[in-house]
Order: sequence, then C-alpha cells, then structure tokens
Amino acid sequence: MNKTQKGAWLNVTGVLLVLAIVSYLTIQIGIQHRPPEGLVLYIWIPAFIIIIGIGIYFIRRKQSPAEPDSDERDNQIKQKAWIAAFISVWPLFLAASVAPQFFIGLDGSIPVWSLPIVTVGLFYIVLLVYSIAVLIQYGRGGNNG
Amino acid sequence: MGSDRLSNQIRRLRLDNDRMTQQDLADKVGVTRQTIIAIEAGKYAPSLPLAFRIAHTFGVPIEQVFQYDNTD
Repeated sequence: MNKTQKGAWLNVTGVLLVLAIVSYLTIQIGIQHRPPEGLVLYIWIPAFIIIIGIGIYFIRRKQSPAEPDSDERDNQIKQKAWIAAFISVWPLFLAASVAPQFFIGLDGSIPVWSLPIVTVGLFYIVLLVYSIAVLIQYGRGGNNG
Repeated sequence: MGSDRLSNQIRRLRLDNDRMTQQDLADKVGVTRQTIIAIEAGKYAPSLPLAFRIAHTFGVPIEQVFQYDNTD
C-alpha cells in the first residue's frame, strides 16, 4: 500500500471510531441523561490515541526509501475523491437540515449542543466519503484510477 | 468513434533488464510501485513526462515501450 491508501484507511478507521464514540455519548448523555461510567469513561480517549498513533506509524513507513509521498496517479485519484466528497456535501447538508422537521416537528426546537455535533459530524462524513472514494479507485484500478 | 488502446512492454523490458523489479523501476522514475503495477496492467495511462522517463530508464525509444492501437 502506498501512503495515500494508508492515509485513506486511517481516515476511515478514525472517522468511524469518532462517529461511534460521539453517537454513544450523544445517546448516553444527551438523550438518556446518564453520564458514562467506569471503564467506558476512561478507555476511549487513550484507545483513540493509540489507534491513531499506530496508524501514523504505518503511514510513515515507506515501501522503499525513494518512494514519493504521492505521484501523478495518486494526485488524480485524490482529485476525483475530492469531487465525490464535494458532491456528497449537498445531500448530506439537505438531510441534516430537513431531518429534524420529521423527528421534532415544524414547531419543535433542538438543543444548542446538537449543532456542533451535526456540523462536525457532517465534516467527518464528508471525510469518510473522500477516503472511501480513494480506496474504491485504488481497489478498482479502473482507467486512470 | 474508434476504440483507443494503449498497450505497453514494460514487464518484458523489466525482465530483460536484469529482471528489474517493479519497485526498482518505480524508484528510478519517481512513482509508487502501485502506479507501475497499474501501468503494466493497462489500468492507468501515464503522463508524457512519465512515459519518457520510463523509456529513458530502459534506454529505448518510447515507441518500444508504449503502443497505441486506434482501431476503427
């Protein structure tokens, strides 16, 4: 695997991990109004740091000393992946804007703490789309991809 | 519109040059091994500068490395 592929895999792992943690905490604290207890309270931060640290170590390892960080094919793949990620922003943004109306109603209100979760969550989902687009292009190995 | 096909002799030229590995060729032309794999498999068309660097590495004209078949 080259650096771009490894970076995409690290992104996928990290984003899914963050989404899982945020979802768990949102349900636990925001909806059930119960703070996390015991091991759950303390394990997720060091676990996240360890996983990201291991991922960064593997990204920095090269197949050979002369391997470039990215070449022309990598740049093409990343460019197409960014286009896919940009296109995905609009339906995601629309869904995030419209969905509360169905769950809460037109006259309902949402707590302020949910806004950064939605915003950052959108960012992470777009990053996930980008990374998956990179991995699909490498795996498919299609024309110019 | 005719179908365009770009084929190459990179694998044969590598083996004829002291059984050069894909990694060795990638290091010489400044790309990753995955790019060389994709070029050999016909999954990726290299840019002109890269194509010329590959030909220069083997010491042959570019036409001996890449062949363009435009069949109508």
